[in-house]
Amino acid sequence: MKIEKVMIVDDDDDVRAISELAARKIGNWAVVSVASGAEAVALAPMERPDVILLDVMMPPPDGPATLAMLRDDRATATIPVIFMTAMAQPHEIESYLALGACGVICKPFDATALPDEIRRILREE
Amino acid sequence: MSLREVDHELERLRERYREKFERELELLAERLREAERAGYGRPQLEAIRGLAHRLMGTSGSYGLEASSAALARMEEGLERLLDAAEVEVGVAWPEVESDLAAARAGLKE
Repeated sequence: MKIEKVMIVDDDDDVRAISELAARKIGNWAVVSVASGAEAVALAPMERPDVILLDVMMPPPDGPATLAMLRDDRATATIPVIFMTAMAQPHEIESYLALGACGVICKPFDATALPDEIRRILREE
Repeated sequence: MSLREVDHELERLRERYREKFERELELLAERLREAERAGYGRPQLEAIRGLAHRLMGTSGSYGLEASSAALARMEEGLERLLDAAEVEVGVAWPEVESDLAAARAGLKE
């Protein structure tokens, strides 16, 4: 699957900054970056990103609630979503995948390897 | 953008974050002092755990691996304090403080 545009959803400015840099400058992708699940749900139908990186722990709606809203909207229902989280015990990863995420990237992550990690997850989907 | 330019840009971001992270560790230290004053109440411990958790993920992503590891230990220590009544604050708290010191030391590496 060819990636042209990525949406990054994280309430932490610093995580957004380094993820954006990796996606733009290493991945060579267009980036839409937002600080909340509500913004993601509002913008994703218009922006139509190829993949959404979604933080799990955010003020409501958190990552899982945001994913549920994205899945409920026909325009965004099939966009692959990758959770980003520091809560990544095996049973937690399983529960995120069961919610419909196509993968999980654990924090901390290596920014320089982030685009390859995204590509790997989407290849395996 | 060349790899060298990407590295330069990453370094600029990391430098900016280190300054912010130092301030965040100060905030964490203040929260620890508040928790001590408040008798290690659950709301205070949960707030500290949440902050340590966030800083662990972000600092590690900015290459501050030693600080991130120390904050992960702090988070685990706080979880033990919150989840297990048999863990004594008098034993666990010095470890939490030591983890904060290690997170600060990690900034100098």
